[in-house]
Amino acid sequence: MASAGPVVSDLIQAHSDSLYRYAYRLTGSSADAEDLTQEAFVKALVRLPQLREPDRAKGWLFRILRNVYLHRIRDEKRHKTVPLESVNELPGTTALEPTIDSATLQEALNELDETFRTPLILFYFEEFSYRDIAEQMDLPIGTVMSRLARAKAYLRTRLASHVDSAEPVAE
Amino acid sequence: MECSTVRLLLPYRRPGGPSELAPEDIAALDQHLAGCPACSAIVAQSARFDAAIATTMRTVSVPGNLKARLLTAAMAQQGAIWRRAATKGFAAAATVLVSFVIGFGVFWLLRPPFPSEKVADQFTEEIETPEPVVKTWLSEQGLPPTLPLEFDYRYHQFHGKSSIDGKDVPVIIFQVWSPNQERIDTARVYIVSSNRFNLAKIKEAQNSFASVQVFQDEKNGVAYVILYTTPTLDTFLKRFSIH
Repeated sequence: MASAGPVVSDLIQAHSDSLYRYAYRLTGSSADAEDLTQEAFVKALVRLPQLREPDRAKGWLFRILRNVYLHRIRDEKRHKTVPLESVNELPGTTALEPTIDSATLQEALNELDETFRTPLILFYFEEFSYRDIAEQMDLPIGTVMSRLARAKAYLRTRLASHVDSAEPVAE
Repeated sequence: MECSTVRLLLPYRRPGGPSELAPEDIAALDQHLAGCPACSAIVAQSARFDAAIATTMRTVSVPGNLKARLLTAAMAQQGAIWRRAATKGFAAAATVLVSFVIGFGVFWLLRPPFPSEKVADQFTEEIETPEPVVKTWLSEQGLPPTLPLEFDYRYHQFHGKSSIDGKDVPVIIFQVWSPNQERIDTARVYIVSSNRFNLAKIKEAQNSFASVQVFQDEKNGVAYVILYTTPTLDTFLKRFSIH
């Protein structure tokens, strides 16, 4: 007999924290992050019958949240982002202290276009492979890796000027 | 493995993360790194960078009551979904009910009137000319139109079906009022088909009140079982009818 699928309360218990953190890194705002997370779970509730593989619920939720985010920013006036074409794409060219301030990291992320910011955030949540990221963004793996390489190179350059020897500060 | 190849594969090497390389590639990569200080230095620097970013990336304080607020919002949405489904269900049920009421109403209005005149005509025909009516009826049953005896149809009272052992058997009933006996004598003619009963085993019988005679019509596969309350059937026949 097939087992019953997850209910939304199970998904909230299991994934709300990581979904919130993802939303925070996307938006840079705790209020926006909570709104985004709530809206994502509401949409997930409606679409729950579409979740055929409960094991992939996390990726499914992340995808929903990103789509909600994209809908929101589509109508908003875009803030100025850094064109990454001018960034040196060679990794490892700048030394970096092992501690990075969370607020500084968020500033750097906010300066990135969403198409570069998202793969970066998903990559550093570690549980997402390049294939997972590609599926979530509907992109070829090669495009994901290219954007990731550029985004990481930008971070290296950007954060090298904000070296902070203190431990990372949680908000 | 050469350094140029290693540098191409390095982005796919994610220690502690999802495996992006085949095991044999990872083994070859590690073997090279063990003997190449330049590539090892690049790997080490990249690993420190990734570790620092990853740690800070995930260092986001989650509001303490976030789960509770999310659950409350989800339950409210679930309630809205159920209410919408219930409304749709009620609307569908109401549509079915209205359709039924309309359909029944149409049926009610379109009911045919009782054909009193037609029934009266049939009754008159049976009374005035019973024999042809019965013959027509027998033919409609797929039975021979003529009975084995010349019954006087002035004594015809009824023709129809009677239930015998759960089977409908055509029967014609004749009745005679005998003033001298102060009773009504009856003759019942059951027309039994071979496809319903075993005609070979039909027996004549008699008790204190009635007698039974059997007439076989093997050609037509029927038997006539006549039950009568008079000493003989002559009372009901045309030659010997009593007026």
